[in-house]
Order: sequence, then C-alpha cells, then structure tokens
Amino acid sequence: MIQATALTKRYGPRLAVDHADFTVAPGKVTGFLGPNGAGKSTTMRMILGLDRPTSGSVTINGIPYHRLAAPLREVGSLLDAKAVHGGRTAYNHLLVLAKANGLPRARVDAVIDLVGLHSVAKKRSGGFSLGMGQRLGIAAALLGDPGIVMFDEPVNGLDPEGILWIRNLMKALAAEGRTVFVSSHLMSEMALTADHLVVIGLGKILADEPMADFIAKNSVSYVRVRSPQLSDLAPKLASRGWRVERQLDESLHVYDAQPAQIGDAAGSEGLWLHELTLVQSSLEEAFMRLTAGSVEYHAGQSGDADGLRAPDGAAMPGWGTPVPQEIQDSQPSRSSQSAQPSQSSESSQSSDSSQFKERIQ
Amino acid sequence: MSATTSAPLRLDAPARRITFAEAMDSEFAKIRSVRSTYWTLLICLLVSVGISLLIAAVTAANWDTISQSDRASTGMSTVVAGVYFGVLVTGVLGVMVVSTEYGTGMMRTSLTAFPRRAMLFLAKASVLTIVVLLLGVVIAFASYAVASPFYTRHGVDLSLSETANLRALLAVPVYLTLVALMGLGLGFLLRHTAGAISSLVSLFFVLPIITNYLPGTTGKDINKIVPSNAGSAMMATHATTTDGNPELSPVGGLVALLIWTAVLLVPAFWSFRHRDA
Repeated sequence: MIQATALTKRYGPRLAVDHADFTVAPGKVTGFLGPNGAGKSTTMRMILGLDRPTSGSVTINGIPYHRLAAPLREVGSLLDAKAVHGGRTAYNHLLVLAKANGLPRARVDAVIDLVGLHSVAKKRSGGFSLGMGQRLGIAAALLGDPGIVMFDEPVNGLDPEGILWIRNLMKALAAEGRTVFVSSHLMSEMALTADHLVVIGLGKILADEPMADFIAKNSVSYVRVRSPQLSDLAPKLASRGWRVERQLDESLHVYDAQPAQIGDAAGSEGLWLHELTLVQSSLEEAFMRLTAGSVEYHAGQSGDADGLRAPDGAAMPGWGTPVPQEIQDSQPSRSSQSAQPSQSSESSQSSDSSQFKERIQ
Repeated sequence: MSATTSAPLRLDAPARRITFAEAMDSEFAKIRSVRSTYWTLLICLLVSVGISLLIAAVTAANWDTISQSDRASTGMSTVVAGVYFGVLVTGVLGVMVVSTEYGTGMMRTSLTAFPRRAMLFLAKASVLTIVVLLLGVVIAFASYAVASPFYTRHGVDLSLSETANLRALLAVPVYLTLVALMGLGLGFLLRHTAGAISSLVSLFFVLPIITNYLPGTTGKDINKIVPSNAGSAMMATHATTTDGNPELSPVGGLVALLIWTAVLLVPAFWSFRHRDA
C-alpha cells in the first residue's frame, strides 16, 4: 500500500507535484498516467525517498521509505534501466544490491533466471541492449520478493516481445497479491494492464478510480448519421433534445441518443438514412480530454493538437452547448476544425474496441 | 523467463533491519566489482614507488654534486617522494567512488536499496579509508625497500628504529587516505567526475603555485597550510624552513590536512543527506 497525502514538490517557481492525494492498493495493477512532464517520475522519486517533498508526505505501508527496515523486501522499483554502473557485471550489480539488504546470494541467481539473463550475467552491463537493461532492472526490483513493485515507463523502447513479457509479469505480480504501480504516458498501454487508474496532469491528480469507472465516465459515444436529406433531418433530431453536429463530410454526429431511436425518428418523419453507426470514442481521447488543459508542451498548430483541446468547447463550437442554430452554421473555418477530430476518432475506433475486448478477457 | 512461474520469486527468510554492516558489505562489493578500482590502485602503486625509486637512483648517482644543505635535508620524505604524485591518484579514486555513481545514475539505485543516507555515507568513506590505508602501507614499505638503499649507501640514517623515520613512513598511508577522503568529499559536492578531479588537481598543483607568490609572512603562513605542503610537513623528519620561515611540524601538517578534509567532508555529508538524489 502506497499512500500519498498532499504530496507536493516545487522546483523554483514550478510546482512539479501539487498536493497529490492517492492510494495504491495491493492485488491489482494501478496505472499512473499522465503526459510527459506531468510529475509522474517526480512522484515516484518521492515515494522512494530520492527526492524530498516540499510539503506533504508519502508512505509505504504507513512508513516513510527511508525508515523501512529492509527497503528491497518491501518495495522493488525500476525508475531508469540505465541507472547502473556499466563497468559492473549484471551479477555483481545485483549482488551489491542484495548485500545492501542482507539478502542471500542465492536470490541473485534466482532473479537472474527469472528474467532470463543467465547467459549474460557475467557480462558488464554497459554493453547491454535496452531490453536486457530493462530485464536487469526488473531483476533488481524483484530481488527482495517485495510486496510492492513500482515501474516507471517500463515498456518504453522495448520490442513487442519485451512489452508482452512485462505486461504479463505485472499482471502475474498483481495476481499474487502484490501492489503494482506502473507509470505510462500511453492510455492504450494502461488499458491493457491496469485495473485502477491514477491520472496526473501538471502535477495535479485528475482522477483516481477503477479503470472501469474511468471508461464509463470518460468515453464519449455518438451516432454517425448520413442521409440524402441531411438539412431536413438535422433540425428534426435536434428538436428531440439531442445534440446534433453537422460535419464537413456531410454527416451528422448525434449525441445522447441510441441508433434505434434515431432510426425511428427518421422513419417517423419519412426521411431516408444511408448510415447509422454508433461510434465510441477511444480511451486515448478520454485521457487527452482529461489532461487537455494540463499538457506542458502543445504541438503547435497541428490538427491533432487542436483535436485534443476541442472537447473543452473552446476550440470547437457546438461541442459543449447544444444550440440547434449551429447545425445551419456552415462557416468553413469552424466546420473544418470540427471535422478533424471526428476523423481521428473513427480511425482509432477499431483498434481500441479490440483492446477493450482483450482487456475484458 | 516465463513471468507466470513465480516460484523463484519467493523469499521465505524473514526481513532483517538493515544496519551499517549491510552498507559496508555492499560498498565493499561495489569497490571490488569495477575494474577502475584495480587500475587506480595499480597506477597509484606504480607512480608512488616508481618515482621514489627514480629520484633515489638519480640522487645517489649525483651525490657528489649535491650541496651540503641538500644532503642534510635528505631523509624519509625523500625516500617516499613519489607519494607526492601518488596522492593525486588516490584522490581520483575517492572522487570516482562517488562521481561514477552519480554519472551513471547508480546512486539512485543504491539509495533505493539503502536509503539511510548518513550510514551509506559513512560506509562509503570507511571502505575507501580501509582500501587506501592498506594500499598506503604497501606503498610506504615498498618505496622504503627499493629507495632507501640508495641513500643509506651515502650515510643517510633511515633506520626504522629511529622514531622520526618510522613516523614519517607511517604518515604516507595517512596522507594518501586523507587526500582520498578529500576526493570523496569533492565527488559528493560536485557529483561530476571531471569537475571534481579538476578541483582536486587545482587544490594540489595550482593553489600552491599561487600561495607561493603571496608576499610577506602572512603569505608564507598561508602557503604552509595548502594541502600539498601540509602533507609534506607530515612526512618531514627534521625541522625545515623556507626562506627562514619554519614549515609546519608533522603534527601541524596532520592537523592542517585534517581540517582540509573536514572542510570538504562535512558539507559533503550535509549535501548528501539533504539534496535530492
């Protein structure tokens, strides 16, 4: 159990972590999600006692890290796979750490076998590939058979096999009743592994809830409607209290309604439909929407960046306030803005739904 | 390799509270397991003993042309003259023990394994002290063995039954160790190999050149206490003067060097305990 209370870290004028309160519970994988520079690594360094909080506190099973009786027996961590002395062999690196916690030498052999580094154990780690370095880091984390494991961006730069291995390892560790806390800036990665989600943006905790709740709360769905009589159809649907947006590609996005209801409505008005599709927005979009105001570096003027901010209602008209007039409003500049995010959500739709399935299984 | 087999993960032994013993164990394992340690120790040995031998051979060969006063000042400190260069190598070892950990990021890994910083600091300093003290004893007696015959042949009294001679010889490991600890302090303060080594070299080779030019008796007094001159005072067997101004006594030299070491180690300790890693 990791517990942060009003955890705050200030670097000069910048608040890297701002009164963060969260709890990481055992028996599940807790994802720590945030854009780059959101304060994930700083938070993890404070958990490990490497950085001193400006105010607030964080404890491991109720005790600050630096007062743990034998830290490696309670917390295994991998912050940076390159944080090893490259001149030392993998075996000796692990031996140094084992000795620091009075662990038997046999543990070194055990974790080396576990991560599959046996053939290079006596080689100096300076020549290791990223994947091997990551495995060495995980071996170090598991050295003390800890009840809590913490990984910072563990899949960054790994090949697919390595990524799969780490995912399965984290799930297996959680299944054994351990606390698994893993950070990532990729929602798609979290969707595959995490049971619980802590979202951080510009140092503030934006969400701390079960993954299922996060999905339910944040996934936006709409129905895409195409019709040869779009101009007739749009006001009719809007008059039923549904939010309707007309897209540049001659389709409507209808919110708050089920496809069947829309089809019935069109039928009762005697209007033709060419398409009626339920579109579920991706988790990635939900995450981006949540952290939209807290991204440290925006990508200039690109359509993607606009798409991220669009759901605020600021950049894109008609998203926040369902005003029927706007359906008729066809100013090119505005509608071109609204067209882009809808396309991107369509393209990411298929891959995300398959990820959902995988997760549920 | 399979992540699902968790059998090797289980560790049934009960957790013990980590103590200074674990920190020492770990630090010994660290210093033993990198090649740079052996290279540094070997270089220190070769430089110290080699230069002592070289100076002895050249001095003996030119004994007839050496002035009476120079002959009189020849003593144990001449026998171990190579140590003046060897100290720099142990200083570098002291720097590297710390700075390579910061440079590679290993320090963060070390601190997650052993977060009791005061203890870790003391363990690092202790391990370095033990290693350099042992090396220093070897250097002292090896230098004595190879260099002293050149001087005794010309009637210089280097007998170790003479207290002053033995004391001067034993000052060698102490001097080497204190300089290694100064390097350690610089490593903790600057966290950067090149910066810390440059500072160390400046302290030993640049500072004396500057203080040597300081005018008046105040200038001379300052010149006496720079680390290299304090170190050589420790190894002196008879009172020496520079331009009529007496140098520090051996004990005075030791005290000056201890103060230098403290001036670097105390802030280093504070910094290590309080700064983010």
